[in-house]
Amino acid sequence: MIEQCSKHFTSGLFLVVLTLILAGFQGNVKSGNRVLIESLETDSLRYDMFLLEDDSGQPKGYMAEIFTPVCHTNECYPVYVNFYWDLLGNYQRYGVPDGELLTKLDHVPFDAADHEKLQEILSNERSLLKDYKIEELVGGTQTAAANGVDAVTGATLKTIKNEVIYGAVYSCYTLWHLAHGDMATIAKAYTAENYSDEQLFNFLEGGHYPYQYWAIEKVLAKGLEKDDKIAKAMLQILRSDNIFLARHLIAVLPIEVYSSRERQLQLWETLENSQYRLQMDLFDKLNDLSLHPEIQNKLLIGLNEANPAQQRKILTVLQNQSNLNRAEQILALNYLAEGKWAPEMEALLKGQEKLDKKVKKQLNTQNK
Amino acid sequence: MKRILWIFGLLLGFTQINPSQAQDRVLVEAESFENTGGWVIDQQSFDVLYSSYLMAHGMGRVVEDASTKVNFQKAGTYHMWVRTKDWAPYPTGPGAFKLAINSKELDQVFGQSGIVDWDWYYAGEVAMKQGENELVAKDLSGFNGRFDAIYFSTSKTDKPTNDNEKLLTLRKELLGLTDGPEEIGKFDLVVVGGGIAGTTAAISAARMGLKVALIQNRPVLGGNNSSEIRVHLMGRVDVNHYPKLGRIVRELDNGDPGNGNPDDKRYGDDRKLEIVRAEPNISLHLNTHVYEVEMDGNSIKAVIGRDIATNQEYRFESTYFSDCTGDGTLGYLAGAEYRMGRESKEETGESLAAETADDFTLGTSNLWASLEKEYESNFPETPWALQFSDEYHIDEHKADWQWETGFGNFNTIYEAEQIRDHNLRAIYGNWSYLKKEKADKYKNHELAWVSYIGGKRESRRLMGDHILTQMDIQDGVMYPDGSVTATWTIDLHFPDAKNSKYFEGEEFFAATKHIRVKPYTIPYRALYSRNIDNLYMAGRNISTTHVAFGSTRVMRTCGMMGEAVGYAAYVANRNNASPREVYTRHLDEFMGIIESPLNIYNYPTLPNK
Repeated sequence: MIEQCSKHFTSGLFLVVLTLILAGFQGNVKSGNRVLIESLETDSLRYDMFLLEDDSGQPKGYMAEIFTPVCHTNECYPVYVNFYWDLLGNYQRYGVPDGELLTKLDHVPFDAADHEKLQEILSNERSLLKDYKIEELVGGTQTAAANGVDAVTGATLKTIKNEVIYGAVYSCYTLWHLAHGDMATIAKAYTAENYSDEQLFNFLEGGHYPYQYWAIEKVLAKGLEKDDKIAKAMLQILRSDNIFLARHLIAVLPIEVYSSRERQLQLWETLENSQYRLQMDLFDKLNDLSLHPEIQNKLLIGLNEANPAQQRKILTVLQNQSNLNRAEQILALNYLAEGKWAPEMEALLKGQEKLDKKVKKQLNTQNK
Repeated sequence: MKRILWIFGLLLGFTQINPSQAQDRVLVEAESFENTGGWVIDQQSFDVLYSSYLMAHGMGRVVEDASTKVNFQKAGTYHMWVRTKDWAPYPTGPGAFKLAINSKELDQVFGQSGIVDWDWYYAGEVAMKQGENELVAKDLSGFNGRFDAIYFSTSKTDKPTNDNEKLLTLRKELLGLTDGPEEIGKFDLVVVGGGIAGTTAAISAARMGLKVALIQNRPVLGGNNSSEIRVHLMGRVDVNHYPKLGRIVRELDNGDPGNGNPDDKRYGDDRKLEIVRAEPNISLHLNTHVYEVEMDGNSIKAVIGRDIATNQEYRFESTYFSDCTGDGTLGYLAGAEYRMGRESKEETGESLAAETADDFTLGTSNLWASLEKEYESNFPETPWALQFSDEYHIDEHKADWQWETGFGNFNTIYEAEQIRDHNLRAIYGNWSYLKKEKADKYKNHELAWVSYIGGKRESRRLMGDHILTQMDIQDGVMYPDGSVTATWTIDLHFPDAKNSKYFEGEEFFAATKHIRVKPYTIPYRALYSRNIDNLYMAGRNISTTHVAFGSTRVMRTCGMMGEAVGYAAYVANRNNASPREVYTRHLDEFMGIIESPLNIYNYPTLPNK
């Protein structure tokens, strides 16, 4: 078996000749729905890496056709595999080219369960494989010979056993490091260098959260949130199911985005329909804004429906409002008369820059 | 019998005890309902509320009604208040329930006020008959609605106090408990807390011939290892320096079902009860929460416990006491010196200690498990729970130790209710997400069990003559009184980094780093209080630093502490000595028994008649 592996590898080396053709390659070559962006040829690894496009010519991901010998001490066997990443270099899946097989110990081909397990292993970005050297996963040559070239041994076994396939440790290790190594970095860098504003917009709208986080970062770095279309797409994210992304966006979006009356009304609508945790963040955000009268009014009215924790947030926002119009001042006065949030309402009214005369009079009367 | 007493007390309460009151008053404690139906009695906040309460823990399915009969001496129109809360006011929680009186359902829905604090809610006027009236509590959601008590008064202005301490006085008055507790007797050793450490302490002492009372505030023994919490036993008993220690632990050990196994039987509640009940020297008091002590100088004279259902109070006098409460409740009540939180490096010299002292403690777990069924099922939406998304959720069909809340965000004693509730919000929010958004994987899974009793890891540590440290452990120091062998790693949990990223300040998922140790021995001096003269302790509340506690806290080790305390109490009692004097004057005798109870006395398994 070991000899066979060596032969495979040796024969693989003949392919070097072919690579000479690619060696002179420069610039990106497009063929069909894919663009060749990188080729590599070394003793231990050979690949062609492509940007994949959809039918409308929009980038949709990366793939690489890979050949690598999986080696331990003097024994190697060849692995042909295709990897797929998303546009940010996050590993997605692998495939085996037609006519090729992944094999375990003794050249036993991977069965469906092995493939499923491998996919699971490779998908785990935080796999323990990241921190181990291959030597730590297996014993010396003797042990390897005893157990076959691709086995785990010894104390490491317990820690690592869920991260590898028995009899295919080298394969798992090598492939994991390929999936999460340089090619992933290349993919992400390629997107970062070549993205368009349209692509950012598509990312924001696409609902795939890693793209959304990335696009938000790029948008803010370039000040693109001033663009109405982009801003709307971002504000729409506040209404998405992903509360973590929504909360992140509230934290990072500049307050200018919410300065217009229309945007504030839209924000209020978002607040009314959003999950409690997000609502609380949005109330905090209102503290930073110069609020339009409608919002001030909604806050005052909203007090009635709010729970005590929300009321505290609303009252805090209201304390910053010194330009209430007459109708709102009367609303506050009525609350005061009813004994609702009396200290806060009194402070609110007293803090007004222009207190309506009648309101002022009544306030004085009530105080007597 | 207890119930009769209780009702009698109730009548006394509003007719005689307080003749100055013009109005007629009746207090009904929720936990004293005759038929609790599908509701459960929760005493975990007793040290805050001075009462247990009833809770509709149905894992999202409406539980059966609870009902009771209450005697009113006078017919009439009464004003009614219900002491309850909205446990998840985000903005309003799911814990809705209604009440019915004499088959007439009240309109008001309780438990959804949006206010998290316990308070009396006015429920309007109700007509009560003379004699027997029926009260029914109807759960509306299965999501942990709860109430503490119901109060009736003929005066509308007679809303009861909401201050817990003042309310305790009122409770006693209206329940007729002002004459003092029922005397249980005088013991050689009273063990408070029926977890693994308390149970072994009681058995060990009883088998040495001491007259022992074992007081446990739940209906089962075993604590974290009971079917109510379902943590498996850890720590080894096969590498002991003194191999005879650990035998009682082995008796109690029902095999290893792992953490949070959906099969309650695997945790061996019955086994533990049977072993204790087979001991003629043990007076077992389940469902009794100790909340008061009587002191005689620096010694505890007696403890007062209250039945978590009937509220009957009991008094236990004893020569020695052992605090096996986990929380260090008994020591705290007695004024024992204690620590809670983390010491600083400067204070302890431990490399694993915190840079600065703080109140960080390991958290509390409410384990849960689902089972795959042959049919599909849904789970309700849980907008009041923690929210999850594709970006972050826990993709698991059952819990393990990592499901844990605390970490200094909450006080594990005084905010035990909030911790449990936070765990529930994490469990239900995540489960709701999995059932809806990962239906392919979970559509046939159904929640089989969710713990409503928190499995606490850390609270107070009572200080002894020796405070075990990291250096003691890692240097393997063998003190002359080194008795209990411990083997667990120094296992100090912290919030999982990813969980922290998404739930900063309200983490519910833990990570840990195991610092391996060689087997070492815990000195006897860590098992008694340094300032309360007759107080032992065994379990997680012994005298250690926070760091050392990370290793001593596992249950087989705690169980061996209990065994050692039982033997020590025997030596103390035999020599009329204090726990400290067992070390200073009778150490050989004690260590002889640790080596083997048969070593010195060859008759110890027979009771002293």
